[in-house]
Amino acid sequence: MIKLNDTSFHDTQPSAPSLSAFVPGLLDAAITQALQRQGTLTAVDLFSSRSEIPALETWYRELLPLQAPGPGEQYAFEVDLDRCSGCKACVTACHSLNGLDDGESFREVGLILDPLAMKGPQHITSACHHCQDPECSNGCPVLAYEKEADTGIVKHLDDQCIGCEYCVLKCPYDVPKYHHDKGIVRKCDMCVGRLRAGEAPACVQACPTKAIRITVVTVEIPDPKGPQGFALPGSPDPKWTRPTTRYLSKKALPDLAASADAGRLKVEQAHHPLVGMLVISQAAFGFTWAAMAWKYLFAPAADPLASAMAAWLLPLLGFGVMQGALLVSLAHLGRPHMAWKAWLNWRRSWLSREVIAFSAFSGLASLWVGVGLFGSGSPLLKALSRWPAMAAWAPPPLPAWMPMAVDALTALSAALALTASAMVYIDTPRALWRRAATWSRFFLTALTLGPCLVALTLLALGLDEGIAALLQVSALAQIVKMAVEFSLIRYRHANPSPEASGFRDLEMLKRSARLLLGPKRNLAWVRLAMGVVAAAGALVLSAGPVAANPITAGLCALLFLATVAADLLERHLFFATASAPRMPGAF
Amino acid sequence: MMILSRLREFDGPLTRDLVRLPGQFGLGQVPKKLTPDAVTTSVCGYCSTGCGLKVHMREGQAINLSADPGYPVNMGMACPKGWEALAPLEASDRATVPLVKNAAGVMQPASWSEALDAFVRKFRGIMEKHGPESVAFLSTGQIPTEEMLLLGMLWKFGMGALHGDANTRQCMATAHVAYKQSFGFDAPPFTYEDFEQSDVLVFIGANPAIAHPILWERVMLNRRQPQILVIDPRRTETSAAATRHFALKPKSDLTLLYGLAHILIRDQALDQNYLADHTENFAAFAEAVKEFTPQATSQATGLDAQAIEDLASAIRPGKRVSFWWTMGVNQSHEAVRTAQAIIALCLMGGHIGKPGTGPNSITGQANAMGSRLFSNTTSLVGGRDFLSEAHRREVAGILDLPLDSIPAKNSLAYDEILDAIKDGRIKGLWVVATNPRHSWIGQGELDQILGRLDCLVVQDMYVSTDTARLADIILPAAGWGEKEGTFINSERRLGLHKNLRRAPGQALADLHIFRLIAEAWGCGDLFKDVHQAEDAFRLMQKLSAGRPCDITGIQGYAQIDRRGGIQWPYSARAAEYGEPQTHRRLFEDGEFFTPSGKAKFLFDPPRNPGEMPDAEFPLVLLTGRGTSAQWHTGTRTSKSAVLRKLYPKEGYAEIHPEDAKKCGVGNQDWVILRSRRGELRLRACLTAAVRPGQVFVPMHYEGVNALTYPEFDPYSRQPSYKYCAVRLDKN
Repeated sequence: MIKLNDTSFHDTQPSAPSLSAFVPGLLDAAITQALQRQGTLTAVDLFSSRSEIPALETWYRELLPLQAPGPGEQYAFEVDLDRCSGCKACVTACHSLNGLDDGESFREVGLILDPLAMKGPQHITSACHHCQDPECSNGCPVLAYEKEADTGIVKHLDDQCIGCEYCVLKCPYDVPKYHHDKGIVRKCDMCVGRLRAGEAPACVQACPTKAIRITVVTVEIPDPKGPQGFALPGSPDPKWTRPTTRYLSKKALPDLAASADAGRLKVEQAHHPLVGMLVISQAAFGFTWAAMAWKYLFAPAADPLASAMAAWLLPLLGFGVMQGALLVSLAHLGRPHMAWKAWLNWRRSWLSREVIAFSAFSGLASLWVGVGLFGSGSPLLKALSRWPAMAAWAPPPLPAWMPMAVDALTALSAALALTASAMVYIDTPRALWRRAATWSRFFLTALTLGPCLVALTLLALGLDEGIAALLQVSALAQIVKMAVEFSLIRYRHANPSPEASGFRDLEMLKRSARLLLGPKRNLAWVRLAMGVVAAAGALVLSAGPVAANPITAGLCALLFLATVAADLLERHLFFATASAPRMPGAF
Repeated sequence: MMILSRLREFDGPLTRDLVRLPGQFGLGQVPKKLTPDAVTTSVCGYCSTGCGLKVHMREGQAINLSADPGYPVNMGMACPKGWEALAPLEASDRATVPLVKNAAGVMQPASWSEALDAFVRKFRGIMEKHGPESVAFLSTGQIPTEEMLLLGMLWKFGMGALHGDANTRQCMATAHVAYKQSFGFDAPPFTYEDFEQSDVLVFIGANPAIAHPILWERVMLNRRQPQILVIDPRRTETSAAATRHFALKPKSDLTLLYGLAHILIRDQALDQNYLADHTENFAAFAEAVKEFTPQATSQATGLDAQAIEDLASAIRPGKRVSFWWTMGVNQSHEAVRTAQAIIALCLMGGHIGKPGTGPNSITGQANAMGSRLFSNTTSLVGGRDFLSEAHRREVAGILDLPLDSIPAKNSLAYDEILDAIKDGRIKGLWVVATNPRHSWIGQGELDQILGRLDCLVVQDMYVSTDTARLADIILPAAGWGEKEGTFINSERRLGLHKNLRRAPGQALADLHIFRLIAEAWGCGDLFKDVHQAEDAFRLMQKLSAGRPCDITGIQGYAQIDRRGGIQWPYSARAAEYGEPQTHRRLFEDGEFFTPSGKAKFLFDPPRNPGEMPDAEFPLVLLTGRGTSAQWHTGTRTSKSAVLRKLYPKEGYAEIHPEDAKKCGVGNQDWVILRSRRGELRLRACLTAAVRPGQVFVPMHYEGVNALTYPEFDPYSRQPSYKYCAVRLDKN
């Protein structure tokens, strides 16, 4: 590297500009020097010692309560809407002062517009509302939420989280956010460590107009119509979780005001592993019922040898399908290795109960398999009995009531497991799931897929007894199911008045209907086509006498595939069109 | 329950990821993973508010930042752009090596010496063939004053070129000309403390709640229970928070201001002494506004006659009345006269030179003020006049240059430069830290215009800007935070920003690039004493001596940093009396910079904008800032994932429900907005924030300026972005 001192450097420059004064060697030296200077962070070295730095404490002192919450009290955010100018510094400060990842922030700012009167625009800043009855916590299967006894702050235990995202479905305010890289959910903790140290949360510290403060509130049900209530246009029903944030304003928001994103349809996340898990597990439940129905209604008349095959093959298949469902469900989790903890919140969470019910069904189904393999008339025992050396070891014949008891219990546990599954969704604030017959959908899926798969299995074994009935059940279930699903479109023009009871639910259902007819229109058509093909095919196939031959089996296999496609698509739509309640959003 | 609690993990690596610890340095708790080992300060590089930031350093590099509680501008607050100031430095599309277009027309990485050689060969070639007026530069209000000075000196005194302008033409030219004509110097008289000391704040064409959130902070800190009056066609966040909003017809503000003057004169609500002692030309002004009766004004502005009377009554003498304007005034076809009408109202009521008063222009870009004083474009350095031989002699003497190296001619303005490119008079263009291909008015033609150039050089942080994509040579520049220098904010405060991060690859501070070009051109002597930014600052000081913007009293960067910025003027003479006060306003003695020492009333009759709505294009298009998280064309703000969350991804149009109904448009539907010059697909946002017959579109989205109508204020040549005729169709 050539290093010239500055004087000689300039002295050697030609003074009269020619066509190009460019002298390679000298310019290179200047370039090197410039790059070197560029790399030296001089100013910082010079001035970083500035010592007298006043902190922000004097700024935010008035924004914090004088005392920590006492018994029956908790911390809460309070937002003065008249002071919020919509600058959104709170969002960026939360991100920076909490070291959150790219694009992550625990605070959001929505917008309420008034299309008619000259009011607003009114921005709405919101974070976690640290609810008195936090549904995130109620629903969390692994108890990864902790509502602190002394502060009332709803904390998320990041290391406990298995990334099931059920809290995302449970929170009416869309607060917990899934962090894909970490496989867990994260959320606002009201900067609890700062509060304990007498400091203000990041958002409170950073608001240029002092619109956000921390208050201590008494733990009681807020009056949603009251001056301190939570009556923001488009915001979810506060009765659901009893949020503690107070939004204050001297100016009443006009009746017709709506969130800026009100007209925009948001396709909800489809959660494909859940789609698969639900459809497959319901196929297993329906399969179980259909297999048992066949056993008691049609097996006695069937060919004994093939029927004996069916007696052990059907339980094995049912059990296998259920294990498939459980495996697929693991793909949904951010941290599947912790899935074993999912029963912990059985007292409050339907997800925990679903996990327990699924396990119970799996256990009983394995007994069912055992009875099929080792019960009386089992081909395995027959084979063993032909081997004299083994005859002594053969188990004593099972008592006659036992297979029946196992059958009954397995069938019952399937019904309970299906119900628990349905309750997972019914117990959320999404109107589509609560109102539009989640249980019927799940039950009908079991009835479309289960009998069809049993019929296919029987045909493969060369059996033709009961096939027509099974296919007819499947077809009927498919037809009823389509009617149930598409009856949703009756809400597409719903225009509920804000005073009407169930106003918020109707708004959500309207959005669901519009999602089905709008962005999800094409998938809805395909789903309908598959359903019609499956139902019509099953009816045609079962109309005449059914003979067990490869052609029938092949046709039945095609019907089964159409049914699977129809039900997977239905379940995708079930998630994607389940419009969620949210805080007023921006667009 | 014991078992249950034992199965719950209260701690672990994921929990520790978000642990906060005391950060020292008065920061309070900070994320443990971002604990600083030192902190330093720096002013923000986005807008002209000029906020102080506290930068959290580790091992000599910035790792995080927060707002500086000790800085007298923002007192510990920042807007989203400031909070995210470091994010744009990390973008993947940074320019890291020079790029030169090869014979096949493909941009190829080059060494600095190759790029400089290409630059010199191209520009010198063009100038030798077509003369010194065949090249131009378009620069910015975003680089420090030191760099602006070097560019201006290099271009005009070193390379012997003439034409150069900056994007400050799009933002502050009007305020510059209005002050200069009325006060004798481009001198915004106020200090931010005036926000807190006013009894009546009148905002005209300004939406500080969104555009300058920290100035709005200062308004909210006013403890005098002020009346906040907002004059704006649109219902904005500012007007929603105001005491009263006057939603006048777009571009009827000059009429309204004359109407107010009429009422004050009619009622003799004047500060007669001030008028007599410190102003001139009032009688002619009073005569001219006679015709602006409340009825006539009401008709022209669409405001109630009573509302106009109320407004006039609010600004009578006796209270502390301040007027604040931004782009609604500056970007107009009669912008300078509108600003001067505001000045006139202040002079009539004596609302100037006292706490809480003043005709106050809130600037746009971080260093618009620096550009106005030192960029050597419209004014000769130090707010001087190229046409004045005395001024040229002064500068030649200070810089030790031959007199004839200083052009005795004014540069073409921005729009005239583009016209000259269009008709082939200018063939080489150097674009520094700006993005005209997105931001220039009537942008539809710009591709074609830039395509006519023999050589387009773009010097920028990013290779991806709309303009850089057309370049023949790209010079990679270090950005804010990777270099040092001073910005001058709206209240004339010089603030220091520092070198906090290493620039990527071979990117260089613009200062170094200008020095290297000087060397390569053969005029390196010009900067023989300039090795770093502070040396250029010394030059600024020398050039300011004896001027109204005299900063010869400043000891250096360390003092600027220590004092939380220093307002101009601060002369060596003033420095003898001690450190500068934190807040100072101008004209406290009623002495102006005009030859007579008096402020001038200047006025013209109002006229209609060049393009009015008609049957074919029945709506008026207003443009402006969308959110606090967006900056101009978004080349920097779009680089932050958090900022991207804070603004709509797609361009949108605010449409009144009545107009929407006529076109069958629902909220959030797609619409096509058409003007005579172009069309744009946008989301419809139905709101009564705009009046029937008006549409508002934020300026940040590509294509907005394909619609706007290229009309310019005759005095400031500033484009009128906020009025053109459009039509709305459902997509």
